[in-house]
Amino acid sequence: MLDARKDFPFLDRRVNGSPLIYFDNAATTQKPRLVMDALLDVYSSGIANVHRAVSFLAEEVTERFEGGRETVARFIGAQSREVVFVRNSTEGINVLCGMLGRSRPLRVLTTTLEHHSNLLPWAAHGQVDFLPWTPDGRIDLDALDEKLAAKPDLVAIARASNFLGVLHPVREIIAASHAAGVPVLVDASQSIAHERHDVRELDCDFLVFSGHKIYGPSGTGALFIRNDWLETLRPFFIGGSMIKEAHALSYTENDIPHRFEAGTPNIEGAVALAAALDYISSLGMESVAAHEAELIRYAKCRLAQLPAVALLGPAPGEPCAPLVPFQVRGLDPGAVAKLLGNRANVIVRSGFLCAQPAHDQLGVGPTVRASFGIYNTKAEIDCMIETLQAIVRVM
Amino acid sequence: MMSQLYSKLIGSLALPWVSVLTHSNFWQLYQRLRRDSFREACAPSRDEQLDRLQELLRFAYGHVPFYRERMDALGLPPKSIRSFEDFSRLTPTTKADIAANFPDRLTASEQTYKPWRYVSTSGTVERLTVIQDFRKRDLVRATQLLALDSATGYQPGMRYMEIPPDICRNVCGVADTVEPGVFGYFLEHAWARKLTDPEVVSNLRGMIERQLIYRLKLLPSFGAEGLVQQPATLDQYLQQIDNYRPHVLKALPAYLYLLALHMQERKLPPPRITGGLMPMGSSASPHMKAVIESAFGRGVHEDYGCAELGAIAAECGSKQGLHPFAGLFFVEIVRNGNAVRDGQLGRVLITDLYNYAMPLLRYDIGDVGILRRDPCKCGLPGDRLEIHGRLQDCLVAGDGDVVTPDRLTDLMIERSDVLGFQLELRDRRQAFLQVVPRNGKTANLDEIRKLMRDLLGSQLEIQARHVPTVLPEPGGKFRLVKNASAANGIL
Repeated sequence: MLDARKDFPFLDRRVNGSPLIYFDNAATTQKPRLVMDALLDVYSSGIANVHRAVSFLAEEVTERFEGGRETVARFIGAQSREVVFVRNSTEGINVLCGMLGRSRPLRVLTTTLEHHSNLLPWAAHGQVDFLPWTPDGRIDLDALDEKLAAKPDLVAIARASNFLGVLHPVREIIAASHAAGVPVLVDASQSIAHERHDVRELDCDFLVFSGHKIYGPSGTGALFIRNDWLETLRPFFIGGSMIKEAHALSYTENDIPHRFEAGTPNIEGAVALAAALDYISSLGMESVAAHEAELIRYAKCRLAQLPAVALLGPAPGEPCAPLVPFQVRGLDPGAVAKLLGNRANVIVRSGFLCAQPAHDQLGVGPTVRASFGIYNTKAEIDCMIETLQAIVRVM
Repeated sequence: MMSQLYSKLIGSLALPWVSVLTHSNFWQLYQRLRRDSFREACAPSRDEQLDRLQELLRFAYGHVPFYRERMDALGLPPKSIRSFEDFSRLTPTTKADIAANFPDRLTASEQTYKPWRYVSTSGTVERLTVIQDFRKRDLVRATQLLALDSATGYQPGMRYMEIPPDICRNVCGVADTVEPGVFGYFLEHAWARKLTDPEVVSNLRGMIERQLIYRLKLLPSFGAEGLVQQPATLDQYLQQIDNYRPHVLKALPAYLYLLALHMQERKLPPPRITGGLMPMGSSASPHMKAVIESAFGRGVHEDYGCAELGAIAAECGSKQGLHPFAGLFFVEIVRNGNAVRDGQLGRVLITDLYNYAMPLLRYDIGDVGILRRDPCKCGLPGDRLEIHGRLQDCLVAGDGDVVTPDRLTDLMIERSDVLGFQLELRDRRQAFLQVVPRNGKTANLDEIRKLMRDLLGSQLEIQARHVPTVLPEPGGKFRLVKNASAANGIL
């Protein structure tokens, strides 16, 4: 039994006498006290800019910042030079898009089930082809070889769908893509907080995630670039910090990975992100996964018992990310989300969940999404179900 | 000629049949309400209105936990409410009450007019959901038509055009304004053998209503560019309006105003509109109305309503204020909880006399207005209502008087150097004013600051600056005045 609740101060808050029930973890996660402490400690110890000055303070802060990079690298099984700090997954994908597509428009194979951030950048700067998927979100792997035969420049795929929660078989996709000579980007935004990721085991070329979805601060994230790509890619952002020397019309690039990080980075964010990753590692990724698998199984089973509720995505009991999209007959999703919040402090997401093409393809309107994290409990799910029952009872 | 014939066919043949097929009484209700020059809707006797109110109170007390507890707590059971004065002792129902008690504690324990349905407001400030039963839904439709009819003489079958405020599809997931043609939709689902699917039936019913009966043509909102639009864009809107030749054009007042200014500045002929113009989403300020009427050569007619209640009041041709549909709603104006004098500004409270699924008693709708009891030129007896904007947007003048958003809006846009503005009051002492100058010039900010101080008090520090445009709120409406400082305490 995972006992993370004591580490999250937001659970002490009372609204109308009741605690918050936060089920919007797929959008962002709450922060443990350790992360807050890490942020505060950077400021209270004294901040300095990294990599530039020779003062003991600058060296100290640089050490903490680079220590953060090492922690991120360790967390995903990478070397620290393969980790580029970014603001979030969206920025990571756009940076990669800019670097890979520097000389010519890219041809990218992806799916319409992707988050807008792993779809629109590719479509905006090149051609996009789509792997077909079933109504419950499973990618049709039979079509993969045929699509790869067209030799796209990249396969860009999420491990977990932020809309349906389906887990894509990224290992198989990577193996098939590499066999066809096509590199692969894994968008780990929705999976990083829920299962172990090892970039060597996955054998992906690129991987990206946002820190705020794994209990870290907003404005942090990492783009993994595998070693053999590092020398071939030219920086997307140009400016301070990414150069060794500069002249009026030319510059020499800094060492890897600093050449990919122009400008002053989010120093305290990197330190706090490392604290978040250390925290979740201390809980044990397997324990986290088991806890959340039980939550999502329970939530789906209970929701499925409500006649007015229609579930989308994998059936109850099937493996999936800890999130469940649903609709309530006769009631618009925004109203459901508002009612759950007003009546029981249950915070869920509604709308197109940054996956409008996927909604369109399924022919469904906007949805409600409940997504779970390490601090959630079955009792909280019961509360959501009881509130939903009260809402639908009057229909 | 063809249009009149079509309208007659719709009214005499199609609608009676549609009513039978859909079990809807909306057409009959509408005809009953408009009888005797709208007297049935607008001018019931006080006794009739009190009877309906008492019946509703008895029902609410017997079936709705929230109201039973509230009446008990006040020692005010329905039998003790024998007059409107007695009724005014009941605490108003606020949006916070609805949020905290909806749905189960605010809805009736038995369903009398099934089926029920949820209705959500678009909510510029906050979104709200209520429940209406089938009878109320019919009444909402009937009163919406009644408002169009009363204001412009619109009849089903005539052409009707709307330019609604933008809606945030991606975030909110609200359906957009483009829907397939009714015949195409019918054929597509007939081919797929889905015509008996309840959702398809419901969609078809809505499409028939909008496309064939109301002949509603929706134009997209002006979008995210806000108050400053490209001339070519405005030309396109005018062209589309002219091509369609609607009887009624209903649009966000800011849109109508921008189109009107564009016509005036470029000396363009007005598009052909046979009936009149109606603001939607919010009311138009007096100066806006004057500009719009002058440019379009047609009258601007207000109506008043909201998603949770339906149409509450509409203007007659005399344009001396809105006639509340007193047969369906009981309208009060209060200030600090007490009824105001005739003609005095206060909060608008509405009691919906016909929503038995979710009774709303003395519902504080969030607007400020005035009730006038002197007779209207049109001869229709009963009160007239003036709506002066949202309570949250009201300010307090230096002399302690309430300044409505309409008053402030006109103070600004009557100036020849101001196209639009947004005033944000952080507190009683500090305000931020953004001014969109007119015709690419600069506005006299010093003069504007002085004007504002003269009205709102010399202690107010105003930071003013020019901006290229004012953007709409997420729901697409414009809030030209925002008051973050304890607006609820004003009235």
